[in-house]
Amino acid sequence: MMDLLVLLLLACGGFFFLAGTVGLLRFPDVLTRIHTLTKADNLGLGFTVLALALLADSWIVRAKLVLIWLLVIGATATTGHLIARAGLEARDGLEGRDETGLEARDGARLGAGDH
Amino acid sequence: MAFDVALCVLVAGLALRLLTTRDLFEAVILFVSFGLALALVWVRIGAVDVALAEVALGAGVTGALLVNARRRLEQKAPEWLEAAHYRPAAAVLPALCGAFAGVAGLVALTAPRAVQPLAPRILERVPDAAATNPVTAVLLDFRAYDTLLEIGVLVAGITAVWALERGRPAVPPAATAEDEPVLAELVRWIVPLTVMTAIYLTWLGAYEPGGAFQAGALLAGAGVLMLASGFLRPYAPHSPVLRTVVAAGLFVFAAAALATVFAEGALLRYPAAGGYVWVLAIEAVLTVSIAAILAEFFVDVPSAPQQASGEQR
Repeated sequence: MMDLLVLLLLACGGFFFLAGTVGLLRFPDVLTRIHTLTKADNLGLGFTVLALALLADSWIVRAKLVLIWLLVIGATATTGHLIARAGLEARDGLEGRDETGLEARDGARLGAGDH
Repeated sequence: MAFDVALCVLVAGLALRLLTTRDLFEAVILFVSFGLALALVWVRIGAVDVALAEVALGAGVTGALLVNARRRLEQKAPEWLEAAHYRPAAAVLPALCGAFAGVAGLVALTAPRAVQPLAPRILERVPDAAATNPVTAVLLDFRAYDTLLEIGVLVAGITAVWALERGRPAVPPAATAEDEPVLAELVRWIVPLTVMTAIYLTWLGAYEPGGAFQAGALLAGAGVLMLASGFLRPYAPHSPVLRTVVAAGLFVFAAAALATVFAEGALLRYPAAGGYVWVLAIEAVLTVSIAAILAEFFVDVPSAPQQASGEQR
Protein backbone atom coordinates (compact mmCIF):
# COMPACT_ATOMS: atom_id res chain seq x y z
CA MET A 1 0.00 0.00 0.00
CA MET A 2 2.74 2.40 1.06
CA ASP A 3 4.86 1.36 -1.93
CA LEU A 4 1.96 2.07 -4.24
CA LEU A 5 1.53 5.55 -2.78
CA VAL A 6 5.28 6.24 -3.11
CA LEU A 7 5.24 5.07 -6.71
CA LEU A 8 2.25 7.25 -7.47
CA LEU A 9 3.89 10.32 -5.93
CA LEU A 10 7.16 9.66 -7.77
CA ALA A 11 5.25 9.30 -11.04
CA CYS A 12 3.47 12.61 -10.37
CA GLY A 13 6.81 14.25 -9.64
CA GLY A 14 8.31 12.81 -12.80
CA PHE A 15 5.32 14.00 -14.80
CA PHE A 16 5.73 17.58 -13.62
CA PHE A 17 9.47 17.57 -14.28
CA LEU A 18 8.82 16.22 -17.75
CA ALA A 19 6.09 18.80 -18.36
CA GLY A 20 8.41 21.54 -17.14
CA THR A 21 11.18 20.40 -19.46
CA VAL A 22 8.84 20.13 -22.43
CA GLY A 23 7.58 23.61 -21.63
CA LEU A 24 11.11 24.93 -21.43
CA LEU A 25 11.81 23.52 -24.87
CA ARG A 26 8.50 24.38 -26.52
CA PHE A 27 7.34 27.69 -25.04
CA PRO A 28 8.08 30.71 -27.17
CA ASP A 29 9.56 33.33 -24.84
CA VAL A 30 11.49 33.97 -21.67
CA LEU A 31 8.55 34.68 -19.37
CA THR A 32 6.50 31.59 -20.23
CA ARG A 33 9.62 29.45 -19.97
CA ILE A 34 10.32 30.78 -16.50
CA HIS A 35 6.74 29.91 -15.67
CA THR A 36 7.30 26.26 -16.57
CA LEU A 37 10.56 26.10 -14.64
CA THR A 38 9.44 27.74 -11.43
CA LYS A 39 5.95 26.27 -11.23
CA ALA A 40 6.30 22.79 -12.71
CA ASP A 41 9.69 22.05 -11.18
CA ASN A 42 8.58 23.07 -7.71
CA LEU A 43 5.56 20.78 -7.95
CA GLY A 44 7.70 17.97 -9.35
CA LEU A 45 10.22 18.35 -6.57
CA GLY A 46 7.40 18.62 -4.02
CA PHE A 47 5.94 15.27 -5.08
CA THR A 48 9.39 13.67 -5.18
CA VAL A 49 10.26 14.96 -1.71
CA LEU A 50 6.92 13.74 -0.39
CA ALA A 51 7.58 10.27 -1.82
CA LEU A 52 11.10 10.15 -0.39
CA ALA A 53 9.85 11.43 2.98
CA LEU A 54 7.42 8.49 3.11
CA LEU A 55 10.32 6.13 2.37
CA ALA A 56 12.70 7.75 4.86
CA ASP A 57 13.30 5.87 8.08
CA SER A 58 13.99 8.77 10.42
CA TRP A 59 12.55 12.20 11.13
CA ILE A 60 15.90 13.89 10.72
CA VAL A 61 16.07 12.67 7.12
CA ARG A 62 12.51 13.91 6.51
CA ALA A 63 13.42 17.29 7.99
CA LYS A 64 16.43 17.49 5.68
CA LEU A 65 14.27 16.62 2.66
CA VAL A 66 11.77 19.34 3.51
CA LEU A 67 14.61 21.79 4.05
CA ILE A 68 15.99 20.95 0.60
CA TRP A 69 12.55 21.50 -0.90
CA LEU A 70 12.17 24.90 0.79
CA LEU A 71 15.67 25.98 -0.25
CA VAL A 72 15.04 25.01 -3.86
CA ILE A 73 11.71 26.87 -3.87
CA GLY A 74 13.40 29.99 -2.55
CA ALA A 75 16.25 29.70 -5.03
CA THR A 76 13.99 29.01 -8.04
CA ALA A 77 11.67 31.89 -7.20
CA THR A 78 14.62 34.26 -6.91
CA THR A 79 16.35 32.98 -10.05
CA GLY A 80 13.07 33.22 -11.93
CA HIS A 81 12.72 36.82 -10.85
CA LEU A 82 16.30 37.66 -11.81
CA ILE A 83 16.06 35.99 -15.22
CA ALA A 84 12.74 37.72 -15.92
CA ARG A 85 14.29 41.05 -15.04
CA ALA A 86 17.38 40.40 -17.12
CA GLY A 87 15.13 39.32 -20.00
CA LEU A 88 13.09 42.51 -19.79
CA GLU A 89 16.22 44.62 -19.68
CA ALA A 90 17.75 42.77 -22.60
CA ARG A 91 14.64 43.49 -24.64
CA ASP A 92 14.17 47.08 -23.61
CA GLY A 93 17.74 48.20 -23.42
CA LEU A 94 18.22 51.20 -21.20
CA GLU A 95 14.94 52.94 -22.01
CA GLY A 96 11.36 51.75 -21.85
CA ARG A 97 11.62 50.43 -18.34
CA ASP A 98 9.67 52.08 -15.56
CA GLU A 99 10.32 51.77 -11.85
CA THR A 100 8.73 48.37 -11.40
CA GLY A 101 9.40 46.89 -14.82
CA LEU A 102 5.71 45.91 -14.96
CA GLU A 103 4.94 48.29 -17.81
CA ALA A 104 7.30 46.41 -20.04
CA ARG A 105 5.56 43.13 -19.34
CA ASP A 106 2.53 43.92 -21.50
CA GLY A 107 2.72 41.94 -24.67
CA ALA A 108 6.20 40.91 -23.74
CA ARG A 109 7.82 38.65 -26.25
CA LEU A 110 11.46 38.39 -25.35
CA GLY A 111 13.11 36.83 -28.36
CA ALA A 112 13.56 33.12 -27.77
CA GLY A 113 16.96 31.96 -26.67
CA ASP A 114 18.58 35.34 -26.13
CA HIS A 115 21.22 35.33 -23.49
CA MET B 1 21.37 -1.40 -14.55
CA ALA B 2 19.20 0.39 -17.08
CA PHE B 3 19.60 3.55 -15.03
CA ASP B 4 23.40 3.20 -15.03
CA VAL B 5 23.48 2.72 -18.79
CA ALA B 6 21.25 5.76 -19.27
CA LEU B 7 23.52 7.74 -16.95
CA CYS B 8 26.64 6.71 -18.90
CA VAL B 9 25.00 7.70 -22.16
CA LEU B 10 23.95 11.02 -20.64
CA VAL B 11 27.44 11.80 -19.33
CA ALA B 12 29.14 10.85 -22.59
CA GLY B 13 26.55 12.77 -24.63
CA LEU B 14 26.92 15.88 -22.50
CA ALA B 15 30.71 15.67 -22.74
CA LEU B 16 30.63 15.29 -26.52
CA ARG B 17 28.22 18.17 -26.97
CA LEU B 18 30.18 20.29 -24.51
CA LEU B 19 33.40 19.81 -26.45
CA THR B 20 31.92 20.32 -29.89
CA THR B 21 29.43 23.14 -29.40
CA ARG B 22 30.32 26.46 -30.99
CA ASP B 23 28.39 28.53 -28.49
CA LEU B 24 30.50 29.32 -25.43
CA PHE B 25 27.44 30.06 -23.30
CA GLU B 26 25.97 26.68 -24.17
CA ALA B 27 29.32 25.11 -23.32
CA VAL B 28 29.28 26.70 -19.88
CA ILE B 29 25.75 25.50 -19.14
CA LEU B 30 26.64 22.03 -20.45
CA PHE B 31 29.71 22.00 -18.23
CA VAL B 32 27.54 22.55 -15.17
CA SER B 33 25.06 19.88 -16.32
CA PHE B 34 27.97 17.53 -16.97
CA GLY B 35 29.23 18.12 -13.43
CA LEU B 36 25.82 17.29 -11.97
CA ALA B 37 25.48 14.13 -14.07
CA LEU B 38 29.01 13.08 -13.15
CA ALA B 39 28.17 13.58 -9.47
CA LEU B 40 25.33 11.08 -9.93
CA VAL B 41 27.87 8.63 -11.36
CA TRP B 42 30.05 9.07 -8.27
CA VAL B 43 27.04 8.45 -6.03
CA ARG B 44 26.21 5.30 -8.00
CA ILE B 45 29.68 3.86 -7.40
CA GLY B 46 29.53 4.79 -3.74
CA ALA B 47 32.00 7.67 -3.78
CA VAL B 48 29.84 10.20 -1.97
CA ASP B 49 32.83 12.34 -0.96
CA VAL B 50 33.83 12.77 -4.59
CA ALA B 51 30.21 13.44 -5.58
CA LEU B 52 29.98 16.25 -3.04
CA ALA B 53 33.25 17.74 -4.26
CA GLU B 54 32.14 17.41 -7.90
CA VAL B 55 28.86 19.22 -7.28
CA ALA B 56 30.30 21.96 -5.09
CA LEU B 57 33.60 22.55 -6.91
CA GLY B 58 33.17 21.08 -10.38
CA ALA B 59 29.65 22.24 -11.13
CA GLY B 60 29.09 25.09 -8.67
CA VAL B 61 32.21 27.16 -8.19
CA THR B 62 33.76 26.37 -11.58
CA GLY B 63 30.42 27.08 -13.25
CA ALA B 64 30.29 30.53 -11.66
CA LEU B 65 33.90 31.17 -12.69
CA LEU B 66 33.18 30.15 -16.29
CA VAL B 67 30.09 32.35 -16.49
CA ASN B 68 32.20 35.24 -15.26
CA ALA B 69 35.05 34.47 -17.64
CA ARG B 70 32.67 34.40 -20.60
CA ARG B 71 31.15 37.67 -19.48
CA ARG B 72 34.60 39.18 -19.36
CA LEU B 73 35.41 37.92 -22.85
CA GLU B 74 32.19 39.49 -24.08
CA GLN B 75 33.24 42.85 -22.69
CA LYS B 76 36.96 42.82 -23.42
CA ALA B 77 37.44 40.67 -26.51
CA PRO B 78 34.10 39.84 -28.16
CA GLU B 79 35.84 38.43 -31.25
CA TRP B 80 36.99 35.52 -29.09
CA LEU B 81 33.40 34.44 -28.64
CA GLU B 82 33.24 33.64 -32.32
CA ALA B 83 33.46 30.01 -33.19
CA ALA B 84 36.46 30.32 -35.53
CA HIS B 85 38.77 30.92 -32.61
CA TYR B 86 38.25 27.62 -30.93
CA ARG B 87 37.15 25.39 -33.76
CA PRO B 88 40.56 23.62 -33.90
CA ALA B 89 40.32 22.92 -30.17
CA ALA B 90 36.78 21.68 -30.68
CA ALA B 91 38.09 19.06 -33.10
CA VAL B 92 41.16 18.01 -31.13
CA LEU B 93 39.70 17.89 -27.63
CA PRO B 94 37.03 15.22 -28.21
CA ALA B 95 39.60 13.09 -30.03
CA LEU B 96 42.09 13.42 -27.15
CA CYS B 97 39.43 12.75 -24.52
CA GLY B 98 38.12 9.77 -26.46
CA ALA B 99 41.62 8.34 -26.82
CA PHE B 100 42.27 8.82 -23.13
CA ALA B 101 38.98 7.18 -22.16
CA GLY B 102 39.78 4.30 -24.52
CA VAL B 103 43.21 3.71 -23.03
CA ALA B 104 41.86 4.00 -19.48
CA GLY B 105 39.09 1.52 -20.26
CA LEU B 106 41.54 -0.87 -21.89
CA VAL B 107 43.85 -0.74 -18.87
CA ALA B 108 40.94 -1.23 -16.48
CA LEU B 109 39.70 -4.26 -18.42
CA THR B 110 43.05 -5.94 -19.07
CA ALA B 111 45.02 -5.09 -15.92
CA PRO B 112 46.20 -8.18 -14.04
CA ARG B 113 43.85 -9.13 -11.25
CA ALA B 114 46.66 -10.33 -9.03
CA VAL B 115 47.41 -6.81 -7.85
CA GLN B 116 46.16 -6.52 -4.30
CA PRO B 117 43.47 -3.86 -4.18
CA LEU B 118 44.21 -0.88 -1.99
CA ALA B 119 40.81 -0.45 -0.38
CA PRO B 120 40.86 -3.44 2.02
CA ARG B 121 44.35 -2.49 3.20
CA ILE B 122 43.19 1.06 3.92
CA LEU B 123 40.01 -0.07 5.68
CA GLU B 124 42.17 -2.37 7.81
CA ARG B 125 44.18 0.57 9.06
CA VAL B 126 41.36 3.11 9.45
CA PRO B 127 40.75 2.18 13.13
CA ASP B 128 44.25 3.48 13.93
CA ALA B 129 43.78 6.67 11.89
CA ALA B 130 42.89 10.12 13.10
CA ALA B 131 39.47 9.99 11.38
CA THR B 132 36.92 7.21 11.00
CA ASN B 133 35.79 8.27 7.52
CA PRO B 134 38.20 6.30 5.29
CA VAL B 135 38.41 9.11 2.72
CA THR B 136 39.36 11.67 5.36
CA ALA B 137 41.75 9.15 6.91
CA VAL B 138 43.57 8.95 3.57
CA LEU B 139 43.39 12.67 2.81
CA LEU B 140 44.50 13.99 6.18
CA ASP B 141 46.40 11.12 7.75
CA PHE B 142 47.85 8.41 5.51
CA ARG B 143 48.60 10.75 2.64
CA ALA B 144 48.20 14.13 4.27
CA TYR B 145 51.12 15.54 2.27
CA ASP B 146 49.00 15.22 -0.89
CA THR B 147 46.42 17.50 0.67
CA LEU B 148 49.16 19.82 1.86
CA LEU B 149 50.34 20.11 -1.74
CA GLU B 150 46.77 20.67 -2.94
CA ILE B 151 46.23 23.68 -0.74
CA GLY B 152 49.67 24.84 -1.90
CA VAL B 153 48.45 24.65 -5.50
CA LEU B 154 45.40 26.76 -4.64
CA VAL B 155 47.55 29.41 -2.96
CA ALA B 156 49.93 29.43 -5.95
CA GLY B 157 46.92 29.81 -8.25
CA ILE B 158 45.48 32.81 -6.49
CA THR B 159 48.96 34.35 -6.30
CA ALA B 160 49.26 34.02 -10.07
CA VAL B 161 45.85 35.64 -10.55
CA TRP B 162 46.86 38.51 -8.30
CA ALA B 163 50.08 38.92 -10.28
CA LEU B 164 48.17 39.03 -13.58
CA GLU B 165 45.70 41.54 -12.21
CA ARG B 166 48.42 43.82 -10.87
CA GLY B 167 47.53 46.65 -13.17
CA ARG B 168 43.81 46.61 -12.60
CA PRO B 169 42.08 49.70 -11.29
CA ALA B 170 40.70 49.89 -7.79
CA VAL B 171 37.82 47.60 -6.96
CA PRO B 172 34.61 49.16 -8.33
CA PRO B 173 31.90 50.06 -5.83
CA ALA B 174 29.78 47.06 -5.04
CA ALA B 175 26.15 46.85 -6.08
CA THR B 176 23.89 47.63 -3.16
CA ALA B 177 21.32 45.29 -1.71
CA GLU B 178 18.56 47.79 -2.55
CA ASP B 179 19.10 47.17 -6.27
CA GLU B 180 17.76 43.65 -5.92
CA PRO B 181 15.49 43.31 -2.90
CA VAL B 182 14.40 39.78 -3.84
CA LEU B 183 17.97 38.52 -4.19
CA ALA B 184 18.91 40.36 -0.99
CA GLU B 185 16.16 38.56 0.91
CA LEU B 186 17.30 35.18 -0.41
CA VAL B 187 20.88 35.96 0.57
CA ARG B 188 19.75 36.90 4.08
CA TRP B 189 18.17 33.47 4.42
CA ILE B 190 20.64 31.30 2.60
CA VAL B 191 24.02 32.60 3.73
CA PRO B 192 23.57 31.79 7.45
CA LEU B 193 22.25 28.35 6.48
CA THR B 194 25.23 27.82 4.18
CA VAL B 195 27.70 28.81 6.88
CA MET B 196 26.03 26.42 9.28
CA THR B 197 26.11 23.63 6.70
CA ALA B 198 29.79 24.31 5.98
CA ILE B 199 30.66 24.03 9.67
CA TYR B 200 28.64 20.83 9.86
CA LEU B 201 30.36 19.38 6.77
CA THR B 202 33.81 20.23 8.13
CA TRP B 203 33.04 18.51 11.41
CA LEU B 204 31.28 15.60 9.71
CA GLY B 205 34.29 14.94 7.46
CA ALA B 206 36.00 12.98 10.22
CA TYR B 207 33.17 10.43 10.38
CA GLU B 208 31.22 10.53 7.14
CA PRO B 209 31.45 12.03 3.64
CA GLY B 210 32.34 15.70 3.92
CA GLY B 211 35.44 17.70 4.74
CA ALA B 212 37.39 20.84 4.09
CA PHE B 213 37.15 21.00 0.29
CA GLN B 214 33.40 20.43 0.14
CA ALA B 215 32.73 22.79 3.03
CA GLY B 216 35.13 25.38 1.61
CA ALA B 217 33.37 25.27 -1.75
CA LEU B 218 30.00 25.75 -0.05
CA LEU B 219 31.33 28.68 1.92
CA ALA B 220 32.83 30.11 -1.27
CA GLY B 221 29.38 29.82 -2.86
CA ALA B 222 27.97 31.90 -0.03
CA GLY B 223 30.79 34.39 -0.59
CA VAL B 224 30.08 34.57 -4.33
CA LEU B 225 26.40 35.17 -3.60
CA MET B 226 27.25 37.94 -1.15
CA LEU B 227 29.68 39.53 -3.61
CA ALA B 228 27.15 39.38 -6.44
CA SER B 229 24.35 40.83 -4.36
CA GLY B 230 26.45 43.59 -2.85
CA PHE B 231 26.47 42.36 0.74
CA LEU B 232 30.21 41.92 0.65
CA ARG B 233 32.59 44.47 -0.80
CA PRO B 234 35.56 42.75 -2.43
CA TYR B 235 38.83 43.21 -0.58
CA ALA B 236 41.72 44.76 -2.45
CA PRO B 237 44.29 42.03 -3.25
CA HIS B 238 46.88 43.74 -1.04
CA SER B 239 44.55 43.73 1.95
CA PRO B 240 46.38 42.12 4.89
CA VAL B 241 43.15 40.53 6.11
CA LEU B 242 42.55 38.79 2.78
CA ARG B 243 46.17 37.65 2.46
CA THR B 244 46.17 36.25 5.99
CA VAL B 245 42.97 34.28 5.43
CA VAL B 246 44.20 32.99 2.04
CA ALA B 247 47.56 31.86 3.43
CA ALA B 248 46.30 30.57 6.79
CA GLY B 249 45.40 27.07 5.55
CA LEU B 250 48.78 26.43 3.95
CA PHE B 251 50.65 27.94 6.92
CA VAL B 252 48.80 26.02 9.60
CA PHE B 253 49.08 22.78 7.61
CA ALA B 254 52.81 23.31 6.99
CA ALA B 255 53.35 24.25 10.64
CA ALA B 256 51.55 21.07 11.69
CA ALA B 257 53.76 19.09 9.31
CA LEU B 258 56.91 20.62 10.83
CA ALA B 259 55.64 20.11 14.36
CA THR B 260 54.97 16.43 13.72
CA VAL B 261 58.43 16.00 12.24
CA PHE B 262 59.98 17.26 15.48
CA ALA B 263 57.49 15.69 17.87
CA GLU B 264 56.84 12.32 16.23
CA GLY B 265 59.80 11.97 13.90
CA ALA B 266 57.74 11.69 10.71
CA LEU B 267 56.00 14.16 8.43
CA LEU B 268 52.34 14.50 9.47
CA ARG B 269 52.32 11.53 11.79
CA TYR B 270 49.95 12.80 14.44
CA PRO B 271 50.41 12.07 18.14
CA ALA B 272 48.62 8.82 18.92
CA ALA B 273 46.28 10.39 21.46
CA GLY B 274 45.14 13.62 19.81
CA GLY B 275 45.08 12.82 16.11
CA TYR B 276 41.43 13.71 15.78
CA VAL B 277 41.96 17.19 17.20
CA TRP B 278 44.85 17.80 14.79
CA VAL B 279 42.79 16.74 11.80
CA LEU B 280 39.78 18.79 12.87
CA ALA B 281 41.89 21.91 13.48
CA ILE B 282 43.66 21.60 10.12
CA GLU B 283 40.35 20.99 8.34
CA ALA B 284 38.72 24.01 9.98
CA VAL B 285 41.48 26.40 8.88
CA LEU B 286 41.62 24.75 5.43
CA THR B 287 37.87 25.29 4.98
CA VAL B 288 38.14 29.03 5.60
CA SER B 289 41.21 29.41 3.37
CA ILE B 290 39.73 27.37 0.52
CA ALA B 291 36.53 29.44 0.71
CA ALA B 292 38.48 32.70 0.61
CA ILE B 293 40.64 31.55 -2.31
CA LEU B 294 37.71 30.31 -4.40
CA ALA B 295 35.64 33.43 -3.74
CA GLU B 296 38.69 35.54 -4.56
CA PHE B 297 39.02 33.75 -7.92
CA PHE B 298 35.49 34.95 -8.60
CA VAL B 299 36.35 38.55 -7.75
CA ASP B 300 39.52 38.62 -9.73
CA VAL B 301 37.92 37.65 -12.96
CA PRO B 302 36.31 41.06 -12.71
CA SER B 303 32.95 40.65 -11.18
CA ALA B 304 30.15 40.72 -13.73
CA PRO B 305 27.15 41.55 -11.51
CA GLN B 306 28.67 44.88 -10.54
CA GLN B 307 29.08 45.79 -14.16
CA ALA B 308 25.53 44.70 -14.86
CA SER B 309 24.05 46.87 -12.15
CA GLY B 310 26.11 49.75 -13.49
CA GLU B 311 24.50 49.29 -16.89
CA GLN B 312 21.01 49.51 -15.49
CA ARG B 313 21.25 53.09 -14.49
